[in-house]
Amino acid sequence: MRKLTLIFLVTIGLIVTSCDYNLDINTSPNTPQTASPELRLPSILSYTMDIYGSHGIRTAMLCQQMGYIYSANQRYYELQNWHFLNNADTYVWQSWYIYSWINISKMIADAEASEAWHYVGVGKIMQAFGCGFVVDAYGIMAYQQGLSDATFRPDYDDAEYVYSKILPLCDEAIADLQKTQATTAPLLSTGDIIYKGDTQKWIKFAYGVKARLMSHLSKKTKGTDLLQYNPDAILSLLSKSFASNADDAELKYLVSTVSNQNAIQYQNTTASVKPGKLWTQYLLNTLPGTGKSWNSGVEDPRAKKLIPKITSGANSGKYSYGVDLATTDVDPKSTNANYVGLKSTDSNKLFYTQQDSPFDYMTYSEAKFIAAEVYFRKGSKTEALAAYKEAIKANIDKLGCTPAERDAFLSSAAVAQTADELTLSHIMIQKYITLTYSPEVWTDLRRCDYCTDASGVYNESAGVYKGFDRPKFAYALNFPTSKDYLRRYQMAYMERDYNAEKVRPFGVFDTDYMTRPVWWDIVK
Amino acid sequence: MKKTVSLIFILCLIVQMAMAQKRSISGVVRDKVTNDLLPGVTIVEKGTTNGTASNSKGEFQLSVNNNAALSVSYIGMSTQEVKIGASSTVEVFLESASEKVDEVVVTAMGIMRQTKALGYSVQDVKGEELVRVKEANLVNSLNGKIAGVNITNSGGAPGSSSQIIIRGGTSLLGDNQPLFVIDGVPIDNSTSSGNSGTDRVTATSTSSGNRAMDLNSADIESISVLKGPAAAALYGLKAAAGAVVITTKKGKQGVPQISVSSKMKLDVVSRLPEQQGLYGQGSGGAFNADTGESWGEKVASGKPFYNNMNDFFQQAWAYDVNGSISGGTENANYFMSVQRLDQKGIVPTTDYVKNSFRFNGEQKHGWFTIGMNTNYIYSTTTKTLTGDGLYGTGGTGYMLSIINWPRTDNMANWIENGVKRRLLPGVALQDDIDNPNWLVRNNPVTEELHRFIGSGYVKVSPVKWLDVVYRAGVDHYNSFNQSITSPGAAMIAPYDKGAVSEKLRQNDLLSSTLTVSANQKINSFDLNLLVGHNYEQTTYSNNTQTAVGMLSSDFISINNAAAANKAFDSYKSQKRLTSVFGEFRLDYKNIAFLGVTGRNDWSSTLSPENRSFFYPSFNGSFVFTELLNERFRNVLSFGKLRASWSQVGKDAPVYQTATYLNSPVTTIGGGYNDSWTGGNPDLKPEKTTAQEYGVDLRFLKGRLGVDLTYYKTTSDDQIIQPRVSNAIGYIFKYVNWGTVENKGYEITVNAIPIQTQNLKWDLNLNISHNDGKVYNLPTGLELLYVTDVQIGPAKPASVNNGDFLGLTGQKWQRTTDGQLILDPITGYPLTSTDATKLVGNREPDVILGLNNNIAYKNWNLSFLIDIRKGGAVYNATEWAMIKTGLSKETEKRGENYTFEGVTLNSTTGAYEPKSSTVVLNENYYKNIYSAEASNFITDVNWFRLRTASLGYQLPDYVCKKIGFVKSIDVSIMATNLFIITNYKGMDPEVSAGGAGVVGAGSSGIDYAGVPATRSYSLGFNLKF
Repeated sequence: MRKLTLIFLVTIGLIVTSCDYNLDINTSPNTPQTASPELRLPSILSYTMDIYGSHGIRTAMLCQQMGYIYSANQRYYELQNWHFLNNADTYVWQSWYIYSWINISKMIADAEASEAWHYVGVGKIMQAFGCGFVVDAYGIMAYQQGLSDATFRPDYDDAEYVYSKILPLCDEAIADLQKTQATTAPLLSTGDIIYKGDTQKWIKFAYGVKARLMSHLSKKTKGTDLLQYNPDAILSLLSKSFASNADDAELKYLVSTVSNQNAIQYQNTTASVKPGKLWTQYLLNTLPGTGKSWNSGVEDPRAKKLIPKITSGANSGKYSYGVDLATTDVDPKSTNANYVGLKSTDSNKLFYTQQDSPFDYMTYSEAKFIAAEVYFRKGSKTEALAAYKEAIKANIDKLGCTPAERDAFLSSAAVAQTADELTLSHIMIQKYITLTYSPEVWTDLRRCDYCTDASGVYNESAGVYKGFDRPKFAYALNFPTSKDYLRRYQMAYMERDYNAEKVRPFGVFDTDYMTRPVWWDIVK
Repeated sequence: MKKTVSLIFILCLIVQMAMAQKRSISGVVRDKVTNDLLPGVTIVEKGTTNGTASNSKGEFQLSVNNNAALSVSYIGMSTQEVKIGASSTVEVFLESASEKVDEVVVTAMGIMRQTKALGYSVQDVKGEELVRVKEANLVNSLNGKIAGVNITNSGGAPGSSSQIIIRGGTSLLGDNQPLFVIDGVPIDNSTSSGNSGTDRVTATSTSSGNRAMDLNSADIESISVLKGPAAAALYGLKAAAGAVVITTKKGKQGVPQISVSSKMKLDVVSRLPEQQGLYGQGSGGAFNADTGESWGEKVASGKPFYNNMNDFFQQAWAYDVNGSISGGTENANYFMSVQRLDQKGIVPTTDYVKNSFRFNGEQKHGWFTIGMNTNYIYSTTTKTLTGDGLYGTGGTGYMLSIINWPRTDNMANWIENGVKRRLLPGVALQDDIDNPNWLVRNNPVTEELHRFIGSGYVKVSPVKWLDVVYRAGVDHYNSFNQSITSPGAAMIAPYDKGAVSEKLRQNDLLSSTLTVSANQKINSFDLNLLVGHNYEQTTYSNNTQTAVGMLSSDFISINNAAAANKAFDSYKSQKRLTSVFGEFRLDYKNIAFLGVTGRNDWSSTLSPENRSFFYPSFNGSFVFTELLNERFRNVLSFGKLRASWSQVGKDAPVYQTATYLNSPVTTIGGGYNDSWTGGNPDLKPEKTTAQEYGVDLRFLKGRLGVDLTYYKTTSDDQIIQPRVSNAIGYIFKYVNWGTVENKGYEITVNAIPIQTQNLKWDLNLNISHNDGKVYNLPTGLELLYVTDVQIGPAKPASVNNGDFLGLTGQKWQRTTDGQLILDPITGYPLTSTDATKLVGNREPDVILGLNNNIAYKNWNLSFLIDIRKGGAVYNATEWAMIKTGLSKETEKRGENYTFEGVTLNSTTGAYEPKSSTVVLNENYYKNIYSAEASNFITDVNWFRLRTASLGYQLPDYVCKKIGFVKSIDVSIMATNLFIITNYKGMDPEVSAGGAGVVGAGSSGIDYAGVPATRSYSLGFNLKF
């Protein structure tokens, strides 16, 4: 018994003492916790492009560039009628914060520590760019408490506050890009999938971003303060920005079986995403009525790069019909061969929707349109006309039309030929075409009050965007009367559901919330 | 069988006068029912430590004081007190402990205790109850037998999971199922599904088993259910949701006992949803060859109209064979068993095959006892795709295919010239509907499991009052899961070219427990102290490999795909837990009992500052009948009041104290980005506090027993991973937030309404009610969704200041004063996709189980009636059927309906009353009717005959004639014989995502799964 007891005690003792009691094992062996700047930057740039493009297809639905087959409760179908389903309002918001900004913020911190100033600079540009398009759409965002570790219920800031922070960020970015990096810091070219490390092009982009944001303030008092409309400052920024299409902030996607290497609008479109009627009328200059450029009947050479053609039936070979927002409760059906999807197919290779199409943060053409508008608003019509024509030319070139087609179009009745003839509508409608799939279109539509007159009622002769009327089936709960236009995104449902108390004071639960203009959309 | 029935205790005294101070007595102990001699019975002279055990022939000898009394006790039997008087020989008959006052149950750490001493409620189920109507899944055997336990079978697929929740869920986002302990070692009872991103198998994609189903019910001696933290306090953090303590069989001293049993079972579909019987394939009221939906024209009489859904299911046979041999000597015993279960499913091709082997052995040497319990299980499961099928592939599960199949087409014709006959040959393959008959044969999901559960223990009792027990346990399994998509499936590219995904999971749970217990009697006090140390390590890993696009279309393998189309993923985790615990018990003259426990855990999943946490528990009981006089006790034989207060902490899931990166991105340029879940280094343990009060009354010497329990459990500082404002940079963040409060009562009634020489009727009634509520979620965050199960217009969710088992969903738009808002143009109700409106509570108001066991001579009839009142069930299957026009409801198509409400004036923007008569057309059903969650939610009541069995034991003379057979039992059994319910769909006992869905779970969600079955079986049991 004694022996046994001893053996027992020794054995138990051995077992108990041989167990590994180390409890410091709570570090996952599956994924790392940190990544150096050159490993974060590619995903920041590609995800931000995807978010921007996904925002773009949503605004294309809101802005009648695209249409969707009749399919009640489908996200895009409802969106063209200004009805935001939950998943329509949240993607841009959610992805900006969780895919882009959090990584930008961590990249900037890491890059500052390693004196990788070019990464800091690019990070700041992307932060200004992204917070800009998010607050333009939603009107408010958590900026000061965005990405906060200290709270799960951040406070929100108005667009005015966000602008006051992101405009100076562009200047900081330029300064960072001009600094010399530490010798041990990663080269920008390692992680830069946009400009391959060309800091000069990033600097031009930074100027462009700032100019674009400042151009949004066209309803604000003219002046020289940061948050006032300042045409001269914008023109000065533009002079240091893009000089040709080669400067475009563009991501060229790939032919790939990995779906998220395909162009964002290839991913976003389907056979059910059809051209919008207004967009096709602008491209074909067939808008009924006024006898101006937009019903000159001159076909824009870009039409064949953008509008698919009918491939079967009696109308085979003609351009696809556009979705008419007066009849979207019956038309088009998915089986109607006269409405062709915008996703490229072998018989319809379109500019934005092939696997390896590009998409742009900002283009030289857009910069020129911004200039044209600013010149126009300050009364310099001759300069406005020149910028307007250069903008159109640049975009036609970008889309790969021939110089002959381009020149013929530029000298046609579809384009204003004299400074006197030029109207804001000429500039904005051409910009609308040029910025197909870009969220900037909706910003412009709001700044220019769609096609309404001073009383807020649709008026084709007084309005800027000729022919842009409310969808007939505009969601009655949110847009009951003919003066109700979409002025902001519905607040992301993640915030309505999970931070309700903080968003409630902004009125997000009111049915008229989306008719309320964002800060820069209020004349003052 | 019963020699004497009017007495519960029998003792035979042979009177002999003796004057000596100390004298020797001898005796035998027998089983009162079988008359078998009982070896290994403990015989102790009352009030002393003087005792012995009966030998292999059931005999014992003991030297006792004059006028001594003996306490005769044996596991599973009522302890008997025998007054010796003057006799020198005694014969003691022990009776099975069920329904008796002196019932002994297994409590935490395997401690056997008399129920009367417990300050909390514990109920148990004996082995014979488990095998009477043997369920393939052990968890189902507990259904209706224990008050406060809610069991939800996920469906009728073989090898599918069953969820067990005791007294409501305590954790908002954790697993709410109890800890399973077998022979003193914890085992895994997880239900794992795949991963939507890698193998595309989500919780609703197919059925998955809960791992406790691997156990063989026939091996089990008893199952104790420790219902709350008080009962389970010694088990610590894993037992915040209670514990299921399983004791397997041991061999008994004597000649080897050999038993063979076999059962044949036939499963048929229990209930199917009602389908419309008027309209055929098409859309808009016209035939359309390009849709599988049933929105076509009215079918002319005489045209064929098929009952595809009913015809699809098959009658399924199952065979369950068990053999066991057991025996032992005075110092050693063994138990060996084998099981083979071969169960086919009602869905063709599906099956579940389980092989189990067990060896339990124990050897005594002096004050040492060593033993081991081992169990090896090998099982294979062939499953089918359910719900929406594989995530993101454009395919469907088999049931959705049926729902998408028009009744004007005969679904049984699924193959033509050796290839799949397409329903919609005119559309692209990915838009076609796979015939379910093709689907089940070509897109199987399979699982192969190898599992070893083993434990070894040493028990040392150097002196009478001291026991030292060391126990080491291992639960190891690996499961290989495969999902095949055959080329030609109606899925999006590249899945239409075939795909394979394989996942190998490995789980290891190692445990080591040392306990030291001491027992001393001081005057009228019985004192008991136990201290222990526990160490546990859980290691989990899985490796997933997938390949899409088979190069050669008739060969399915990971190898048969281009390198670029293959992907693999690996995951590992490890967690350790060290604990010390102690318990002090005090027993005053069997009248008053007090217990105190304390436990401190150190968990690896929390940061060093927060990883140590202590929690105590207290319980007491008072047997007031001990103070009453004999006359009174003839009526009220036993009465006890009990109360307990306890706390249990709970740690965090692994790796949540830091934020990690996602796997490298696949976008252009590659690289990393942050995970969408934010870590939290400040996580602290959850704390569950429970109070329980009860009264236990037995009347008429145990003929009637009533036990009432009220409890309240509060779980604070929940470790949850809510969706948060995305503006902090994450979708989810681990936080300590929220309180779950469960309040409820349990009523147990045991009665023996009839007891005569030949007839005995035992009745056991369990009634329980639980009310689970959620509080203290931060303002502005009012809902916690169960992410795994989101279908159609409603989803399971926990609601702040509301129901734990809530359902939220979409409602038609209404004004603040509740008026329906109608579309000014169309006149139909305006829909909304806001899915946050509370639309139901899935928790039943009351569940009731009534067990009856009637023994008449050699016959035994038992049946279990199961009643449930209340509790929402969401019929998402009906929602799918509305969409495709197969629902009975859509027979109203074409009728007019008048909605009363308000509408917006397009000039003023103001509401004005409106009454609009609209036609109930395809668009209405698909897009408007389907967007009002309440159309699919039923507050369900049911009355069902859950199980029934009739057994017959062949008379002794038959066995004697055969010779080598000791006994032969034959029985017929049935489950789910009938159900009466107000629910319109399949069996309302459903759980779309199975038991693996954590938090509020997926119970009460009916979505295109495998319907529950009704079964009939025939079995026999031979003993040699």
